[in-house]
Amino acid sequence: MEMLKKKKASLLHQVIMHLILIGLIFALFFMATAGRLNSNGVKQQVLEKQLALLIDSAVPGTTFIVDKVNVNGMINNLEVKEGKIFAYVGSQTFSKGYSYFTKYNINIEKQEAKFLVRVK
Amino acid sequence: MRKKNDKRGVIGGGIITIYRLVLISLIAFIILGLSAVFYEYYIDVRDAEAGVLARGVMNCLAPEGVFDLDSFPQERENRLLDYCGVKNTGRFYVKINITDFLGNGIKILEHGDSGAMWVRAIFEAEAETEEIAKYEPGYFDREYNVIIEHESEKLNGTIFVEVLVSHEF
Repeated sequence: MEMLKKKKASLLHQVIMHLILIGLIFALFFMATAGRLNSNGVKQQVLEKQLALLIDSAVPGTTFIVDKVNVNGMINNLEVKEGKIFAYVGSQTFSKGYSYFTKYNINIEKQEAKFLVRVK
Repeated sequence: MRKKNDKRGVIGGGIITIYRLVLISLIAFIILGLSAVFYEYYIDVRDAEAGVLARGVMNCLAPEGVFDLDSFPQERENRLLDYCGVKNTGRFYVKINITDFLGNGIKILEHGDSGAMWVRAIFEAEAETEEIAKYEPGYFDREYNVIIEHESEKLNGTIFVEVLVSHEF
């Protein structure tokens, strides 16, 4: 009888451990895909491509104001490097960027609540 | 002996647990990985880019509607976008066909890989291309009436601009 009780306790213990581990694994995977579920990738694309088109169409002396708190989400960084514009929405740290082809110089000035994209 | 058997049992149980964990991880990876695909969306702005580039090239070649044929350097006839100062031209193919008012060809200016037009032709032929639709190039064409200055003469002519923008992948 005692041995039976020990076996049942051991089995319950095992099942609980398995359930906890399974829960942890799924929680990890959900966190990994959360970035896609909140469509930050799409917002990032919209922002980068809109800005690239604006930059391509602009004449020297034009300045675009991009609010940090945007319809495309909270923009935490905006930068230009090697002919591409990179936008980071929310907690993103990676961007493929989108290339622009203007012959003018582009620089970005960061202010408290907005970014200024200047075409010179 | 019994203790040895108990130890073996515990080790065996541990191996089975590891195997189960790996299996569950694989299933979770497959399920969540597949579902993430449905949240991807490709935004295609290449037609708009082609239009913007065409306008930029026209402003470069014929500002105020006058194209000076004599001042265009011959060595740039196949590097048109370099002449206009456009950067990052790897994705673009541009063709300019300059004709007089009778339709006679005067000059052709180009930049890029003309093979990209074949890619467009495949999509135009309505081949079964739904799965590769995002590789369809952006395209823009327009005819502009201009005045062409050549050897101190001015004549009416047209410039037909074709711009093709390849995918960025």
